[in-house]
Amino acid sequence: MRRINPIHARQEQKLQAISALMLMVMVLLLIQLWLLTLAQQEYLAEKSTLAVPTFLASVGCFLINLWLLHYVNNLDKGETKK
Amino acid sequence: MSDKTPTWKTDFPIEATTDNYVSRREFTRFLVLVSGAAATGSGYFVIEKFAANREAYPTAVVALTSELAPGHAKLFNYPTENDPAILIHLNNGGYVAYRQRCTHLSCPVNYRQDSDQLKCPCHNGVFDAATGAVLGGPPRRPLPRIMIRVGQDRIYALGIQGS
Repeated sequence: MRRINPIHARQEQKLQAISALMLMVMVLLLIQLWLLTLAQQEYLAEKSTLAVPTFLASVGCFLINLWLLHYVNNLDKGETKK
Repeated sequence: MSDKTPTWKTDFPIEATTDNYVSRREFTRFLVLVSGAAATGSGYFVIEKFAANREAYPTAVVALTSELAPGHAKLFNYPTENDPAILIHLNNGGYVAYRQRCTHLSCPVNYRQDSDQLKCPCHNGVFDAATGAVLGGPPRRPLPRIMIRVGQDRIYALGIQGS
């Protein structure tokens, strides 16, 4: 039976965590792009009811992304040190 | 092992050492940068919203009630000289006014008296003259409506609906 090296297992776990965080950042970015197209459609239709909600949601997504980036940085730094 | 160069190396003659390495951190940082740009882009529409709210539309006389018989239209410019608009005296007696630019690619729309419709000659977009709603063709948004007031002998433009 193949023995699992605990250090490798931990590295593997970190890699998966980073990939998951990156995926979340991408999903949030796609949501932001969708919000941007919504706001643009409203603007072109000479309406502006969605401008503020889409902006707030987009800023929220950006802040979450910053928070996720902080985690990715920490995990990645830890990974490179090993 | 043979010394022959593998086919993939001739197809992709890039040395691994010269390849640009992008770390996950750098890539995520780039994504977050784009995310910030998207948030800033959304902010632009908020600024536009408040700028539009501050912008007071002028009240302008666009026609005399006597000069438009039912089923006829008149072109005018509102709110500025660069904004073509169309005033329609509908067959049912009501007055409506719209921006004259098609919401597809900004071609000028024309009023058709026989069908009470506005048609865009560029790509055959069709709008309902009474409501400005899209009836056919490529446009997806209704025509922006200009609010009007019909006085005793004059018709006034007051602003643009939705702005």
